[in-house]
Amino acid sequence: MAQNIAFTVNGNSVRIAVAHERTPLLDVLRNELRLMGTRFGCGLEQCGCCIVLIDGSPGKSCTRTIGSVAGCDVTTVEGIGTPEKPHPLQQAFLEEQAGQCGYCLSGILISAKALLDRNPSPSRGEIARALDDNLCRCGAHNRILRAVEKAAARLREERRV
Amino acid sequence: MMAVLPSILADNPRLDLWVNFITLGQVTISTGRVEIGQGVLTAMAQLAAEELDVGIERIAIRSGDTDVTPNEGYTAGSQSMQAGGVALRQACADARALFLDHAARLLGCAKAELTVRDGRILRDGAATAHDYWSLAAAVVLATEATGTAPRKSAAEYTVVGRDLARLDLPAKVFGQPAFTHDMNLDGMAHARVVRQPNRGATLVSVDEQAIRRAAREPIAFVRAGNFLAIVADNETAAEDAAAAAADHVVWSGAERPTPLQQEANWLLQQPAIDRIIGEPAAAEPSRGLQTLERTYTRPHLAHASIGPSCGLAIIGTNI
Repeated sequence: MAQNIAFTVNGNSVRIAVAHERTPLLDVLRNELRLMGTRFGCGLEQCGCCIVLIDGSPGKSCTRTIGSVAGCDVTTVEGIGTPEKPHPLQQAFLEEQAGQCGYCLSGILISAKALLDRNPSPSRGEIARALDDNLCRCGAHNRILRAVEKAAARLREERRV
Repeated sequence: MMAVLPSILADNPRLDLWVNFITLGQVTISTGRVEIGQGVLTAMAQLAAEELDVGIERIAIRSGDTDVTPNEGYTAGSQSMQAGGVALRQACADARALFLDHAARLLGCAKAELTVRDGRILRDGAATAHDYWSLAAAVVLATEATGTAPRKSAAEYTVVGRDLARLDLPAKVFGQPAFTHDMNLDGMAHARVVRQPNRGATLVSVDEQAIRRAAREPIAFVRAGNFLAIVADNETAAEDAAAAAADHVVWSGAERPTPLQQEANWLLQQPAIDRIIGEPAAAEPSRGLQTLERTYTRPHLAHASIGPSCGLAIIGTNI
């Protein structure tokens, strides 16, 4: 039975008619809202490609049902910055060339943002642990860690000014 | 005069297939290779900028459009630069030479007096009235490569060998469309393949009713021999149906791989055909360096933990 689910995506209120409450959030983001930045990797919560922020916490949108995010505030990679106004993480990822195929990057950027939102001065170990659920099969990990460190330093700088 | 062409260029000899100056101030470069995260399009842009003596920002790369790009076969096997790159370099070198030939005739000078700087043609280092774009209408690139123009030597490189930001990375950092799956066409249907458990397994029966119940939305089955796929307008329905299919499809001859088959040693014992892809470079004279040898293996059957692969097709005529 079709139902309407209301929630917020990147600051915009949306109301979506879905066939089933258990439709994955990822399918709604990509197919209904055409926000293609959040990617399907494994569909089994194993790779982290599909991670989005749900009320500020990282969640795997491939298995998270649309029914469970009713009334929630969802942030996708499109919501954290743009080429004109990049988030410090996006800027740092470009400066460090932190990515190869780039398929995992949306999820990694979101996980990193969740970390920096709650811990502005993470150690390298803390960054690695925060990104433990995000697989990068290409092996860009060192650059990714450097980029997150750089973004963290820049955000601290911004807050001080 | 005809020199031996790089094999990919011999297969695709028309110069305008590789390089064009259609847009003022811009060089359109085509490659049959595709970006899969190895940075190949950025590297191709560097090669073209190098051979043509133009700024890298002037290069517009065209890739993946098989109607207009050279047919280079697969993007695989670390062959893109080695085989495709050398073809592109030669095409650009030949194209540059055609422009210099033409400019030398117009200027009534020897070609050796001419050089190119960022697309502008210089005579003895001084500006002339000519550049690639002013001559583009007169220089016919709809001609076959000759392979006679020398490609630059490594000592002459000014662009190649320098770090350059990857051209494809911004889209991937800002969540913009970058992959085949990011194409979302109106009226698009979604499919999932129900995989054979192993090669040689035979599809015996499909409980379509049970799978339809799991999908909860309309689905269609595509069956050809041992190939089975489920198609739906709703992607979630196709996913749910394919997941349920494991319990509702009967295969004969299904074999689980043995633990032994996970080991690299098992693979090494299987019949193999060696393919020679080049001769090793002559060994450097020994300078008292010590050679260390180690063998590293991993379970090859566990190679892919995630599989973001997909295909997209438009079905019909007059497309």
